[in-house]
Amino acid sequence: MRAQIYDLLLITLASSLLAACNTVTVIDKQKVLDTIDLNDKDSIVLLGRRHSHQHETESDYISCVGTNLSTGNEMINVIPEHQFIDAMYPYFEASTAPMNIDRLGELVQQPLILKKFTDYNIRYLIWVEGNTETIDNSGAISCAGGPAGCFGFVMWNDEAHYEAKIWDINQLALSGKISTETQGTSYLPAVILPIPLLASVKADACAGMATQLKEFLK
Amino acid sequence: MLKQFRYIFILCSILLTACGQSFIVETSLDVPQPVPSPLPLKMAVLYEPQLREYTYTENNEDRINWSIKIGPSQVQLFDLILPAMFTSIDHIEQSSNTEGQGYDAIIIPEIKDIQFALPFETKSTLHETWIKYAIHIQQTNGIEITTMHVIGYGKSSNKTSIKFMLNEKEGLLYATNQAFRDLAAKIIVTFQSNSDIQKWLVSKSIH
Repeated sequence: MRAQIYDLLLITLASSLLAACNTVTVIDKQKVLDTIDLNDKDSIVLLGRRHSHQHETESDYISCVGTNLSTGNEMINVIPEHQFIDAMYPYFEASTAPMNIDRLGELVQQPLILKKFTDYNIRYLIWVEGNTETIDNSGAISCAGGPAGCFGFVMWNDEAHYEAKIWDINQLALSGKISTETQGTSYLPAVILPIPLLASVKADACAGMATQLKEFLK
Repeated sequence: MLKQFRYIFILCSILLTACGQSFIVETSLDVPQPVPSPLPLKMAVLYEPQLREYTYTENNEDRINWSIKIGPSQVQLFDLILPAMFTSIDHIEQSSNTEGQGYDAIIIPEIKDIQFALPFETKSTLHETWIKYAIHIQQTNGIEITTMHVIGYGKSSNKTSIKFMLNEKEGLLYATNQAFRDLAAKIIVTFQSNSDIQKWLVSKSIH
């Protein structure tokens, strides 16, 4: 009977920890222009904002959203971020990139810049701003040498905030905005061995953003 | 005899230790070809020895025998960007006696400062580099048009820094290349928007 109670407690603890590793994503979408016009030959480019060294948008997040957009149903042609930035050098570096659509309008007045946009068939340029960070953590793990191994418990909360601004290249106007907020708690219990139970906050924020962008653009 | 061997052994040990801790590198340049946007100007550029042969040196408790040669990379950088900025660019050896050669202006880049930060110093996982330049632009008669002050910043990415932790040189060279990249981008963009340059271009009927 006692063994059954222990089993039940263990299962309940494991289930609640696994459930707790889940993330919660909130998405907000705002359409500014009524028409979205993206055909099969058109491409988009996703760029991370990195003008502030403290809050740079991670390259792996941009790459993740790009990969999700260019695979599966309703695929979209996505120009890789680094390829685009190198091709447009020096006008899309962290310190020189246009911060607003008027500045982009000035840039595309340069014939060679406009030609690059035309050569790549870029219809929409999407700026993604935000990042994922650990907002708090608690607990401790002690790993003594020898057969005792590790013992303890650590948990932390991650939060991902991203906002995508979709610029229409043909109309030189803001088409819309999509923002995602994802939260999740990760746990690291250790009894002899540490067992990481990680919340996939950034990956879920990536999947959420990609799904919304596909819906927006198709 | 034994005493002589002892002295030789100590001397060799000191020399080997010193070699092991020295940090002697030369930077390299990996910056994309800029999108050309040449102004119709015939320009000359003067690379003074202080720029061409610039080597950053430091020797203290934390940075023993540091010697980072960046002169050749600087020349390479300006040789990459200037032809994208002007229709004609010539190298000159001195700024005097250039009147009558048809140059619109002379560019003299000057390195003012360079700083490095290593992960253990900033308690981060990043290598960082800052390079500060003064770019003097003057007429052939020596009258200054403007001096642009530009700072380039570069850092190794978090992902690559873990690898670089094992190789200090790689991390630092990567950060320095990023600083050169940032610097070159700022020089091109700043030149186009600099108010003194704008006035000068208007005076030459170039917009």
